Amino acid sequence: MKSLMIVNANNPKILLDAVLYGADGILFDLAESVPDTEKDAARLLLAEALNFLDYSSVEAVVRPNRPGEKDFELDLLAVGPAKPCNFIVPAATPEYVAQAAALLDRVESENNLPAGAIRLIPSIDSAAGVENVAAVIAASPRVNAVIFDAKNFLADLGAEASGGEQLVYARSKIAVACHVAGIASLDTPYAGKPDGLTADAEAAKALGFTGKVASDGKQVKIINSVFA
Amino acid sequence: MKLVREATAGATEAGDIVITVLPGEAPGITVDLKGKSVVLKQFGNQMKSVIKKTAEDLGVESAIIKAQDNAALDYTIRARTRCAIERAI
Repeated sequence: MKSLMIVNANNPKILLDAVLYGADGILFDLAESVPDTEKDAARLLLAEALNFLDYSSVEAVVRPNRPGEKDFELDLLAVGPAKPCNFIVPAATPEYVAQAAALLDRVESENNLPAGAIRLIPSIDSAAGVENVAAVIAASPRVNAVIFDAKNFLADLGAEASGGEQLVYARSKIAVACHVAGIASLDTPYAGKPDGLTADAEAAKALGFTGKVASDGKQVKIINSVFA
Repeated sequence: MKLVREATAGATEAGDIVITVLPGEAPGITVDLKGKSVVLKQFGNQMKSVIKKTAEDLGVESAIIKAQDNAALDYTIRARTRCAIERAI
């Protein structure tokens, strides 16, 4: 998967149009894109969309709310039966990955889905997450990729975003750990000026990343080109 | 399943639908659907059927359901109807 495009999971028109941008994967966001008062509506809409619309040409990835919040379990139990390809594990730790895997064991068992069919993508968004990335990957055989979230990683460090160089260590550690584990590594979404995306994606690729998260449809073509 | 309060789900954006459910005063489910007349002429009965069936499948026996359509497809109609009902119990 070269490109993984973020979409708001509570917007029916965006859900309908998401496959038109050429992304290899669609990241259906139930977390940051959805206000607290609409969490229930978003997971119901996404579950219906995954059953009704044709996403067979893309990898359907769901970002639930953070483990430890009440919506995390509700998200997995509501959307899991619609059998997305992957769930992201936000703020991933080995314990949170194991917790997500146990919930999916239950979802698959209760809905007659093949055991282990739904995979997990830990999101590394803290200093501890970077240091423990190999343990996070090893926490479940469901893990088949890792996402790097630079915005929250820098916030955890207490550092202001100042350019790609400050991310070299974290990116390298994640890319190397994923390579050793034989899984995909997806770089953080780019949030700078549009003309900087190509250089940012090339920097991630040079460190070993296999793809990148796209903030919107306009970024997909560039990301696909860099990681081709 | 008994509704105990009025509740709404959905949005007025394109592709969405606003569903408002109220406890019924008599047995049965009544659906009041509004939207573009050209859409309602062709798909109105189908949309009402989706709303009513979603409510029945959830075990609702008495309700007044008001819907304002903005060109929603079936999956959105089902999701918003279910959400409004779950918020009303």
